[in-house]
Amino acid sequence: MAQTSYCPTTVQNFGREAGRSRAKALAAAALRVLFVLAVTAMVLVPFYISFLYSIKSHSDISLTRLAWPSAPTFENYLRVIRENKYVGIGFQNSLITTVPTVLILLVTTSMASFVLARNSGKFYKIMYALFISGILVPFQCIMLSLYVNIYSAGLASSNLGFILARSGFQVSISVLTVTGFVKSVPRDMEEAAAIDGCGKFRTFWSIVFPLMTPVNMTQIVLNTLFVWNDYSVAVVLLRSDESRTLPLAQIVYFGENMTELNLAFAFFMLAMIPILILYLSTQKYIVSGIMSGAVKG
Amino acid sequence: MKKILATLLALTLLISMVTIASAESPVNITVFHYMAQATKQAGLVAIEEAYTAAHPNVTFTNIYYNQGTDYFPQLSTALSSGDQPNIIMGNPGLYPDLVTEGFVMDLTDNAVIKSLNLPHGDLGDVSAGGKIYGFPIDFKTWGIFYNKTIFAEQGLEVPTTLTELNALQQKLIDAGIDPYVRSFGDAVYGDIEMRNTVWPRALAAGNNDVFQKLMKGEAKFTDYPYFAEALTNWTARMVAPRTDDMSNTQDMGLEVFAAGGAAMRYDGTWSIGDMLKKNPAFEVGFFVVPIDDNGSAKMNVQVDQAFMVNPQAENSDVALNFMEYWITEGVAWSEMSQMPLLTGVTSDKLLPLVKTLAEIKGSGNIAHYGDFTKPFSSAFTTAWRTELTAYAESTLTGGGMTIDQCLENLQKAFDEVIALN
Amino acid sequence: MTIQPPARLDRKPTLSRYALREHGANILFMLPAFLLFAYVVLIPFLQSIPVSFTDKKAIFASSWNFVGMDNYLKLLKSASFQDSFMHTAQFTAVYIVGANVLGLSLALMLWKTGRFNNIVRTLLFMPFTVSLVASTKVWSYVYTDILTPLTGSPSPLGISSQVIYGLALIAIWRDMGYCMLIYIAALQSVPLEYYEAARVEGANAWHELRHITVPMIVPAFTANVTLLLSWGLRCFDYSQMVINMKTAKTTAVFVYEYIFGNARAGVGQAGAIMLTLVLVLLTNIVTTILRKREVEM
Repeated sequence: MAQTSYCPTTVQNFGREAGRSRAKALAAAALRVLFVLAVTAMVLVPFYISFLYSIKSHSDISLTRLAWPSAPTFENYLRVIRENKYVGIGFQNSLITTVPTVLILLVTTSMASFVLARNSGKFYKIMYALFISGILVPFQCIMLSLYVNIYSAGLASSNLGFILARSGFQVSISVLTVTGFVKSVPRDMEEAAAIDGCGKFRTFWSIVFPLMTPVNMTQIVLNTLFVWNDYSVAVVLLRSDESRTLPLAQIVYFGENMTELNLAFAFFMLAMIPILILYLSTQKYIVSGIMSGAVKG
Repeated sequence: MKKILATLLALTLLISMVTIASAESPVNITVFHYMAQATKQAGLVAIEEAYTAAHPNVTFTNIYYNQGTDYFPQLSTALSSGDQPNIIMGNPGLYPDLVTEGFVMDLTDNAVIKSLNLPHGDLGDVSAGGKIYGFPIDFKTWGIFYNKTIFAEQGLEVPTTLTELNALQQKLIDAGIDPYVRSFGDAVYGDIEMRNTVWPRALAAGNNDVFQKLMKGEAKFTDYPYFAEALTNWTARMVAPRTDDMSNTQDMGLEVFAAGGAAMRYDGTWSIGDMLKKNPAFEVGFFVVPIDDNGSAKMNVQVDQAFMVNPQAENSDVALNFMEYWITEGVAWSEMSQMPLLTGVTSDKLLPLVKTLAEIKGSGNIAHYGDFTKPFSSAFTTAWRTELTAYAESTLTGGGMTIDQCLENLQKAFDEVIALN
Repeated sequence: MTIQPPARLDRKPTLSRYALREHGANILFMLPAFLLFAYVVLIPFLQSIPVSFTDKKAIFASSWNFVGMDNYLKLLKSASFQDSFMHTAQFTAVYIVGANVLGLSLALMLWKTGRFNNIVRTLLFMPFTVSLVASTKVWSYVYTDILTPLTGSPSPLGISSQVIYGLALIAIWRDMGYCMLIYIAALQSVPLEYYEAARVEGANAWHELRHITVPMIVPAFTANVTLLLSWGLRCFDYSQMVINMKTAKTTAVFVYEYIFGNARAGVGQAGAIMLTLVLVLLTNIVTTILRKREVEM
């Protein structure tokens, strides 16, 4: 704050003025920190309560609710894993659907966005609008036809069906993000490559794609979040117990085991851990790459 | 000769092997259900395992969806894509489209169901247009569950009249004990508070078609005095509100009740298993709620688990056979789920409370949902329940909605649904 | 799609050879993403339109009649449908304002890189990594087990006049970190020379905010508002958690109930189309206004 405020001062009162403005700046900084910490604390409350309930015994929850447990226990986690085979199956399903979906999106939407960003013809404008309109269609509107199509392709309750559906569903928001970014990438290098006789395909993969690394990292992390946490598409397409992803298994478990809150919350934490690890290890990419695309888009 | 004999032998062997193979060819039966409680799911698995033990080639796939939000939507989606579950949980009266589209088998002449000699109400709950379309397994009812320990400490007796119930509530309040913990965060609770007055009164008045007429718009709520009476009775029970009454889900309410946080709880029998799971030492009793001082109250009975067989699915004969097995040999299910069977068959492993319910039903002094011509369909149920929840909120928080206003709101909501039909 | 390019090229015969190849390559680039998008979103959406002009009941019904605009007219007159739009609008308004105000204030306080800022940013974004359905489950406990004991007032989810705000708060909690990151990205993209130049010319803090910071933020604002508008108006899962409250029923839930639960597919599908139209219209209006502002600034 102090550096950005511009106040011309005379030599005589420089000391006093500076002192006052320093005190002011200090107060402002303290206020800022206080506000930020207060908001952060509030934001973390739901995580705290989930963690707390996951390490208390059931009777402990009903008797003392929010008090810190006299004997914290990880028994709940072990019980969920031991008694519910869908933790393992769900984790496996989530992994083998999320990874391909994210890769498919990376390849397909970066190519499409490149073309959409570099061409301003009417046809491309319409295509762009069409792609983006995907974020405006309520899922309930297309849910039935989507399932019918997936089922008749023999892909209901299958990993492949979910991968296809989830990728298609995510295309819109990915195109929105990436197109904005590509617009900010200078054209010089690709033009030079074109003059050298490079094909479009090679130009894209050897020159443009590497330049898109920041937004691609962002895209990977955000798409992983969206796909891993998906509920609405999964609940429609993945019907058999064996095909359920981790968050879906978790919600089903939550519904069935409300009687044992401690277990429900332990499962909740378990489902969150992988995604939290991914987020914490990659969050710098979200922040750096984020939305130079969205901002310019 | 030898050659011929050998060939014949080989042929018979081959044929018998083929026949065995076809008899034993694996069959998978898909069960579409909405049983959320873990105990019921365990019961389903138990009965399936018992069947598989006798028929090793039959396996089961259970597909569960939440009834209030996802069950019928997901079932419909499956059916319209050609994905055909074998067994569909539900009351055919609630899902009339399944019947008209031929997704449920006509069981009117089923020998097994006939041999059970079930009363009219039991079969009415699984019928539509005078034909039977489902296997009724067990029943549910609702009323007041009470904490026996608190009742003993306060020297309270189970009330048999409305006056006694009101006095009892007051005694509890005076002793600083919450008479009830409620769960209006779940839409079903306002509904069941009303039923115990509406059903016996309507059946006694011969209004078996009351729900049908309301849905068709041929009658209004104010045409029947017992809707106002039911609201009056319910209002009298909404004393000493707690801050959590409106936000409690079923489970949160049970948590408080099982921990001794309130003396009574108006609930359905589906909660018995969970109540005891939360507190295995819980001493809990049950009584049918008095609706006046003349003993007019009757225990409500509604078929709970009922299953339809889909004739369009493969192996529907096996599915039919399984359901016939379940309805006759359902004790394994009952022991796991603690649900009273319609056939009256009980076992030592059932809770005394569950046995008592079966006895009351056996006595015939009941008001059976199956004796009504039609149940409320989904859209009307939603309207009915949300309006009742709004009334509960207003009454518990001093919002001042009168009974007449509530009836008017109900009528408006029904008219809205009718207009969109 | 395949017909359009040659038609365009006819008008510019001089370019034909090169342009044809260029155009073909462009289409090939967009094709994979477009196929996915079409299979999952576009085709199911088009398939769902005809149903809205019929009296189809259950979605698996084998016969139905064409009823023209009947369903649309019925819905326009229906008070419960209008109410659902009102609830959706209330939710969306509170959600957009809340998430943006908080996101922007936090961004202004945390946009500079530093250890403290980085940690806090990471924490504030964490709710976005929790699945939406799981967060509604946890929040019902936050309200009953923390808010009620603390303030003595009942959970807003049980109060018909507050329930929609109770839901919006959950949505704000989950998404304000996302808004914040976009604002931070925008703030970080302001070249520092702008501020230096302004100071040389004697601008004060207010001038800087008005003439440098705000104009740089407006694109981020547009991006946030557009995205949150589409998320808010399609609000489904939050509303679904309190189906007992009629004051919390959003249009998406109304539509879902009519198509599937109530077996009035024709009416429900008409509602879904109307919701989509409103979404497209509103989003267009909002982005047009905001983009115009961007230019004016």
